[in-house]
Amino acid sequence: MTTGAWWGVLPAAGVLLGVALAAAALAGLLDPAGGSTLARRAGRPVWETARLLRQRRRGVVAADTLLWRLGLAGPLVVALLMVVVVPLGDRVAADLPVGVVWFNAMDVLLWAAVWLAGWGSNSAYGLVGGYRFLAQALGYELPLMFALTAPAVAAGSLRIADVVAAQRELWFVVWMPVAFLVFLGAVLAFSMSGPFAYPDGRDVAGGVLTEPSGVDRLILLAGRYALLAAGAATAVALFLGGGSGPLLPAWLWSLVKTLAVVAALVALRGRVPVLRADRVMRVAWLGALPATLAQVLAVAMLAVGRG
Amino acid sequence: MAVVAFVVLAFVAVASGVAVFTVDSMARATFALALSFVAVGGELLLLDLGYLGVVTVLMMVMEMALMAVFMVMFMMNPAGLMPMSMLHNRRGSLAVSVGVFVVLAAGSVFVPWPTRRGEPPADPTRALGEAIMGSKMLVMMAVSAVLFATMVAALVLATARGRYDRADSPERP
Amino acid sequence: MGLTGELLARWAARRPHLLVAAAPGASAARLAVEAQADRAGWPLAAAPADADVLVVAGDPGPELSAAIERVWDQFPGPRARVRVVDPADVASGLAAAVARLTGTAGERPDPGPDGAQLDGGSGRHGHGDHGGMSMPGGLMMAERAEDRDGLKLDALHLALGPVLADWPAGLVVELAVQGDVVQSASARVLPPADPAAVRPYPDVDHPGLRRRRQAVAHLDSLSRLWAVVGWPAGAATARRLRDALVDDVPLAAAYAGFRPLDRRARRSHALRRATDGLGVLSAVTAVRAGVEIPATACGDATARWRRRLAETDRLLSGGEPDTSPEPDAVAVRELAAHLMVGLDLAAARVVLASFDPDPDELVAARMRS
Repeated sequence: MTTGAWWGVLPAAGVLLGVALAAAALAGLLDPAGGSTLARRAGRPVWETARLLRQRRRGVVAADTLLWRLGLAGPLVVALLMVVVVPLGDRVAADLPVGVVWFNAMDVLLWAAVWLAGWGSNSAYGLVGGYRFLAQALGYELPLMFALTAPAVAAGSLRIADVVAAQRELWFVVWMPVAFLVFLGAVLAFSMSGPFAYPDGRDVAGGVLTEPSGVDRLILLAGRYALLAAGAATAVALFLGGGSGPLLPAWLWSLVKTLAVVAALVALRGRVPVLRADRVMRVAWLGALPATLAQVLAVAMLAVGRG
Repeated sequence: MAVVAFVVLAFVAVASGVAVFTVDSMARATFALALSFVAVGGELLLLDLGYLGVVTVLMMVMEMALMAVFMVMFMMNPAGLMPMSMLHNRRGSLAVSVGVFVVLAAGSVFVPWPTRRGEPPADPTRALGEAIMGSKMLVMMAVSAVLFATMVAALVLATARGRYDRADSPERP
Repeated sequence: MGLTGELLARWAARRPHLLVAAAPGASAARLAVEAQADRAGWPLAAAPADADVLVVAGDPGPELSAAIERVWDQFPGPRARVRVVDPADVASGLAAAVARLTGTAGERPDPGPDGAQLDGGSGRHGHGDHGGMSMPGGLMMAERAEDRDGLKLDALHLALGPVLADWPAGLVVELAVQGDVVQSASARVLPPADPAAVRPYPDVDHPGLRRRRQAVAHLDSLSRLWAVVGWPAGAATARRLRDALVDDVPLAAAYAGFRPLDRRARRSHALRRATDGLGVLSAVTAVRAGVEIPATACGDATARWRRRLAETDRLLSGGEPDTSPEPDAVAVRELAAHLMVGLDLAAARVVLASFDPDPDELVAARMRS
């Protein structure tokens, strides 16, 4: 595993934005109401970006503009910070010894960011959206933590590169499927999409998306897709063997697997109705949490048994 | 380079700590405090205490987000957007904070710090944990799992009737 | 405008977002607008901040007009607006509005309201009239009140509507919210300019057309409910079927398209979880509230949408149009508002959407009485 200089962050950011763009294009392609021709649908990120660059940013009376804008930029920044510790093939921008915890800490930054994005706009719907994210986060965070614990325990290390290396023989998804599924669910949850598109729900006029326009909105929407991409990249490193695979170079395998996970997540979005916060709590605390605990227990016993 | 980063982070930590008491908004005070803790987490990272540094960021941001929610929820200030002073009991708090500062500063100056023997361990977090817990490590880890299970169970029992009219619960007529 | 600006404008024009503000009695115009938007691949915005074109369907009365003006002031710009009354003018009207938006029509596009600070957020209509101490920025000190869990929390007065995505035309529900729980709700409809001319959409004499329009109304309600529940795939499919029916496709073809949707909705466990047990209406509740309820409104939200599906199935498979007397629209509206109390905002909106009170009937009922 090689760590580059600080500018090693730039390719990571480029790949992240590229995958996010691909996710947005696929979302446009799969939307039946996106227009008549394929090009018109797949070009959706381009049309939307142009539209939002042309649109004016608006302010709202008595909004806390500083905190609002910080919150709006939050998801994109968090996604970038997540991927700096995730290896692409055998290269990683920052090979932190505690990469797994780093990922978790960055995800918690979203609690603050999304709440501020909703609260800062001084709009009732925005505020409801911000609160909804926190309610949802209380549901998904603990299962996510335990889902992250399983591969770390199996690899005996918090370094993501070590977790990848520990999957030489067998991908972790094979013997910890519950942790994998819970992790993917948490990725959908922190990127506010699919069954977890609750903080930005249409029933509250867009929630955290109610007030921002123009560039502000563009950054928040891009951040949402970037989070999806960063989560998928992490899932590949933690559960799907990272860059391992025949024939192709390691970085290409990482990319291909990440794109496949993103595609699966995007295809799933929109097919499942949104889970309201009270239902998320039941699913998360009565279903996912005991399941991941059992998963960690099983993994720990296997890890101890193997020596 | 590391020294520059250390000084910058220390400055951010102190400055945002001061900001907690000078800004006039609940949310700004809360998140200034969060920023201060994040800077402290950064300092810990520079000291090669990676795990502690990252966990500090994780826990503190989570706590501040929840604190902001509760502050905003229980104030008569609609959504916390109204300017308001963050200071209460000025005289008492001034005395307490000056006292605490003097004690801590005196401690850092007068305590005879040990000189380093040997090299820093490969994994300082592990060494720190073993120095604190020693042979009780297994017990502590088992207790933490039990504590966690107890908390979850208590929450589940306490919220048998939630905030909403729980229409999906079978006992409802 | 430079070359880049022109390119941006051209790309942006591929996907303008529409915000539809409909007046009661203008269902045909609204349906035509939504169908045209779907054909062109233009999304319907959820809030003014997300919208480029304001489409006013029908002829709003003074109060509704004032509300629409407030929404218009919240458009960030560049923006355009258009009013459509006759469904036949919809395609040309929308095309002209989008052309004005990009400036291709030769005139400069409307840059949006002046000043960096726009007036108010979307969630703050009708904020100023609740008394209380006025503070800088026009904010009010919140009033506290006892709430049902013994907590003393701020009471927020929030008006849902009249311009809101997936919402009955012209309906306003005034809520008092404490924390996330609705403490009280009262609903009313802002009438159009000429309430006497309003006829409910399915109210036509020709039985074939009547059958078709009843099915359209049910699918319209289902699409709104599913959009509110957060099931975009189901909502889009229902909307397409509805548009096809308006477009005079043969009933048999529409029925073939309806069957898979029906199966999918009935089999969806997640969808049932989202609506089960919400807004349970029993004969007892109704008697207590002192109203006579139609049988079609009983049960929970799931029961109501399943009944709508069954009724659509019956109509599309050639069943006779429903000729039973119209349910008391006002009573249904009152009950819906009554059942929103005690729920959080999301569940309360699901309850209202499961009844989906028809504003046309509400206006017509008021004219009758």
